[in-house]
Amino acid sequence: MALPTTTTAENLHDRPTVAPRVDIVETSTGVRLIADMPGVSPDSLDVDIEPGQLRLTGRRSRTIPEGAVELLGGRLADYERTFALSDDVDLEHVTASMSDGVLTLELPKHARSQPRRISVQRA
Amino acid sequence: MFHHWNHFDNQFSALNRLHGMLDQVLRSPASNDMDGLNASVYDAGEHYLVSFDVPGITEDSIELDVHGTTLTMTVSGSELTLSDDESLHRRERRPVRFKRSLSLPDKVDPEQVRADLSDGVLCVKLAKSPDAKPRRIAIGR
Repeated sequence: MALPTTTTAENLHDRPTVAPRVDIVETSTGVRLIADMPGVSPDSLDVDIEPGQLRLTGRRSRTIPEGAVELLGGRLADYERTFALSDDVDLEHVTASMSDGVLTLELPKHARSQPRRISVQRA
Repeated sequence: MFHHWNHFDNQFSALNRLHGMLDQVLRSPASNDMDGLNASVYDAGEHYLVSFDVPGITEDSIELDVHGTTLTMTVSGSELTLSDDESLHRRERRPVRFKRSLSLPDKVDPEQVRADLSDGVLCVKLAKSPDAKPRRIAIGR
């Protein structure tokens, strides 16, 4: 999946934002970042990657019927969070998927950064 | 006129009850996993709308029960699973797993509850019982 390179920072003006909770997993080939962003559809999510930086911005959809009285107010903030990326992440091969309000990003490391075991041939 | 004032008072006491309920939810000892709880409740006249954040949860992990004025939600999300060659660097997410009851100001019709799950948000629409719906009183000339 190609990653969008546009930014929605302008559109997020005047709306409260919150940092999504994330898990970061080190895998055998790189890093997996899992972010909870309930209320965000794949269309309203931007993943911006540049050398040294990863930024997530997600707009939360709101479906409040007109004239409804709020009895209990939930947090309806948009999401925004920036992460520092180490140089060994292969920016060309980052993949993103989103399901049920959870974003999963696979950030592979350059092949040269991955541990390798050299098989030894019998002479 | 008198009828209107009464309605107004009822709404405020309902609001107070709900806030008291949320306080209980947040302070109960079993709620350590719940400070991420994000819920909203709306009164849309004919029905209530309740929404909860349940990221990563699918339909089969959610149970809803309606009894009188009470909506009980049981959500059983699972822990993050890692394979042998993976290790956790940072953990902020928590399993979405809770059982909570919500007291609504008016009785709802258990036969008319609709739940939608979309992008990790559970929205429950509960029709009020016929006797709890707002009515406009015609004034005879």
